[in-house]
Amino acid sequence: MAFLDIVILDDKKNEISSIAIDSQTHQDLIQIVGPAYKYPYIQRLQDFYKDAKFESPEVENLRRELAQFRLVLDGANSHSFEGKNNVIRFLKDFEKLCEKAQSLSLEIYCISD
Amino acid sequence: MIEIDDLLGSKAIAKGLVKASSVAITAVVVKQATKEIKPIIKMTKDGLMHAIERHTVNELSQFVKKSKFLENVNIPTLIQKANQVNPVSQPNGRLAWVVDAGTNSGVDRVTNQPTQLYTVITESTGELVTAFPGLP
Repeated sequence: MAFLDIVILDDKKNEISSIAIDSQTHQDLIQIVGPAYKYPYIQRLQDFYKDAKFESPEVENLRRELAQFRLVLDGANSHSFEGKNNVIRFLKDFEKLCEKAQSLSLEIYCISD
Repeated sequence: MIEIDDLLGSKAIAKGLVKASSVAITAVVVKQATKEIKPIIKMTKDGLMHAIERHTVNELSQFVKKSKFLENVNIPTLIQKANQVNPVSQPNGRLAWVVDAGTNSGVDRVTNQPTQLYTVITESTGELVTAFPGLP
């Protein structure tokens, strides 16, 4: 199975912390997240096979967007699909990763397969 | 007794049926041909670099978690070999070519076990995007 690794790296490119999203959960996320104007930071993950990056000053906005989308997804009965719990779990983990990146003032890299 | 007009009418109907059948057969043939058309995988520098830097054992620490091809495999050859299988369309329009190498070609990160299977991802037109051990 392919993965998009979302990582915090130190200045020597060693991993400090990471999470991963598999291709199925990624597909569910992108299908449901909607148009880019609503969640522009999450939409940056749209291409599963292309890298993405969140600069340090962008991480707070990303974290807010993840939390907002998670609350919408968690509360809406209309968003009912098989992999919903996996998407919500991923969003929670990603929020925690953002908090860690913020505490260290580091960027977040999304590294594709 | 069959009248000449009946015969002409039957002939016209028969002709119409033949024409309709012919159109239907042509449609089926065209549909099948469309189904079978697949692009040839086009090796791209970016795609090959993308696969090699992530999926070979190397010093790039940011890719340490990725599935890795075994050191003795030739990645460009594996990619070319994928032309022998039929690709599957991905939701984003790309193509996934899943190949059984016949022998172990890499280590799958999920199982941490050797695998014979590998995947080549291309654009719908065949340009290489990436390749990695295991399934998509």
